[in-house]
Amino acid sequence: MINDRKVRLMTRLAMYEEKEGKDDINLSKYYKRDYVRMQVLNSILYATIGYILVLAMYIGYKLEYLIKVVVRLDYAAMLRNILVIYVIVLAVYVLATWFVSSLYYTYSRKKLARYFRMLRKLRSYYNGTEDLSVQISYEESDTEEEYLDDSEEEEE
Amino acid sequence: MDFFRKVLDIRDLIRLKYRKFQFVIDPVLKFILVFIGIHRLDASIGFNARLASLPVEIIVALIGAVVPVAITILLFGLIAIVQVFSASPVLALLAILIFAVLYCFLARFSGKYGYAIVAIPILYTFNIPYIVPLVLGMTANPIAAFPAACGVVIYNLIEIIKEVSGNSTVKSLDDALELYISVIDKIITRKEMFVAVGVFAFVIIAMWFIRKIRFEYVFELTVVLGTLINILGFAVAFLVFNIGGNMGGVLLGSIFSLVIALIVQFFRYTLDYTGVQRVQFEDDDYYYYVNAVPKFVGEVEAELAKQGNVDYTVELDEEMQDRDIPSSEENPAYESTGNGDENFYDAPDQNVENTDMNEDNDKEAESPLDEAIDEEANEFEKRFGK
Repeated sequence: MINDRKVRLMTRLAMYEEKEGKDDINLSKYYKRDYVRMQVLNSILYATIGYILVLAMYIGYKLEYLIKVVVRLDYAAMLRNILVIYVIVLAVYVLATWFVSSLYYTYSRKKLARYFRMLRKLRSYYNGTEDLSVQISYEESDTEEEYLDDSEEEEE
Repeated sequence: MDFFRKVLDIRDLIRLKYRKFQFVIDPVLKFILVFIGIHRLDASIGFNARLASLPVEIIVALIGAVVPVAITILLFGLIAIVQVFSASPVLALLAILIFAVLYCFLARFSGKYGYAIVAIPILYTFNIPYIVPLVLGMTANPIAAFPAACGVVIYNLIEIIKEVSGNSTVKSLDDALELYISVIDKIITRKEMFVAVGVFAFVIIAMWFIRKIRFEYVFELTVVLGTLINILGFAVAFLVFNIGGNMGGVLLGSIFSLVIALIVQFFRYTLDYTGVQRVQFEDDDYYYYVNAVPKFVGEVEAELAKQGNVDYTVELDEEMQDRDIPSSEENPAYESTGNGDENFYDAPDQNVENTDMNEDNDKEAESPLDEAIDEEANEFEKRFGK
């Protein structure tokens, strides 16, 4: 016979897993350290690509000038400036990513706490610490099949 | 009071109708929105007559009705680039580069707020882009300022491309370079763009802060304050940076956006919790195919329930969700993160002794059925013993 309480619990778990819990459950597979490092690496990659694109656009914008001064250009200073700006952009991006992803991970774990508690409750159903043997129906409440299991009582 | 009660009843009726016909309403709404969007895009930069034709717009809207939002955004981007390519390959290349830079630095953090990237340019054509920062301020966190900024930049890029497309005949590399430089010049000197990015970001962040304060009608007040901040922000920026903007348009657009945002707020929890959710799972004995139908407490709903016309399979209503969240009075370890918009599954962190890990807190979530079961179990124990 179907246990209404268990079905309700499993339904809530399934609904959470399908919708808002999807990202949180994916996140729970990582340690915080690993997740933050992964996000920082992603940020470094995208920031580098973005910076190269911006640099290319800037070179295109200043192409006429660069062609005029190509012979007397101080390439060392130019390269130094490019690298300094790159390091600043990267540092800002990495710090922001580290901070935001740490916060996001912590917030995600808080949302998961309830989910884990419901999972634990479901596990207790399967381990027998929750009493499933009693299926109270109004017609059969006086039969011996309804006898309470003499292991633990229901937690509630 | 009667009038307000009637308005709530109308809301409940809309909920019921939406729930009943959700599987039809959702795709139809998406079709209409995508169609309006692609039509406005073609009206702005419809350089390719074949691509801007009605059958193509209908096909794109049909695709947008069934695919996820991220794919729809990608589709809009592709169509925009193809349209611009028809005017000038140089402009299309520039558009691709700018889209790529925006993605690398900003858009990749959009998450579920990516719709703002497309919504803002489209709403700009109706002079009501302010709806988006107001709605984001109500629902999102400060990171939503990034997709909002992308939307503003994309709109201004499209406007610039429209301006220069008449002179975009490229016969040599010099012409191409000149076109490229003129567009970049226009972008970096376009003060209205930077002002809009700044004001929208400020509105979103300010509304997020205000939302955190606990008081009654906080969301409605947040929307009103967000609108005021929006109007004042643009007014100050127009004066300080000497921009020749249309302040009247900003005012009217902001007021109209305020009304729309208040309507969205009124229906917000309806939209979040109205839809039927279908889930399936199994255990050792059965396969379960469950329709989880949100249950609402409203007079119309209650009346229909009495008539046996309401179907509820799983209890999952707003009141229960609020009850399930432990308050700081019940549990000092709990730190409230917001006001009324805590997720159902928010819970304090891992101090097991005095958090809601304590099973006793479940007692508040017990349904009448559970109480009946416990009562029957107690009666049974009394009769037959343990």
